[in-house]
Amino acid sequence: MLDNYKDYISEASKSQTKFSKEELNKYMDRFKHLEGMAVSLFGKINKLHPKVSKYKRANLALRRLEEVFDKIANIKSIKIEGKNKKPMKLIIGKRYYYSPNYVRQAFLNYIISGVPCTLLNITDHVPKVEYCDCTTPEECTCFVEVSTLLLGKVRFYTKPESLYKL
Amino acid sequence: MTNISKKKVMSEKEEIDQLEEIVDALIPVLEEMAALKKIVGDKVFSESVKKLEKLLIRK
Repeated sequence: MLDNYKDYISEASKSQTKFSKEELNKYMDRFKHLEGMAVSLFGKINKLHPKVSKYKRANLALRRLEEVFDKIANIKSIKIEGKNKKPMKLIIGKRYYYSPNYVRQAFLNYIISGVPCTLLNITDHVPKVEYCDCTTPEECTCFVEVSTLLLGKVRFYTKPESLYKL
Repeated sequence: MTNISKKKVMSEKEEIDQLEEIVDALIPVLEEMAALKKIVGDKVFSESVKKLEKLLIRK
């Protein structure tokens, strides 16, 4: 961990030279302030009473990111290339069941790339995803788990009858 | 008699509303952090991301 503020400034200086030291200090202060706000807000999410299940919390949070991205970029689908060079697709505005770990990854993607993304490996053998109104995969009998996809964290669900079409 | 304050128990709807509010507040913060990435540098940025990663939706 970079606990020392001087380390932060030093790192910032290395990566960007066109700012004066005063400007850098100002940006670093702002960044640290934002980080503090994000930490506090993430903490609030975690402290919500477990009446709202972790899946519901995770999916709500992700859906909000999707809405925002949709509003900002007005893009429904982007093809990008994954680590394994297989084609991947960014899908916006649909409801899936994600594990909280995956939502964490989606948040991180969002922070890192500025794009809140849901990465699914699109292959011919994966049926199109549909959705139901159940709260958690555990209680849901409408869907079955098809496979664990990218990042090793995405659980992919579909209706049992869809499997017969495979 | 002891004075025990009762913590208000929220309904699920209230909690979801609260979650929505938190995410509303969180999004512009993350956007601004992303915008500052190039200025603060990769190391600082990734340290920050790691810190947030540890916090998000753990239970």
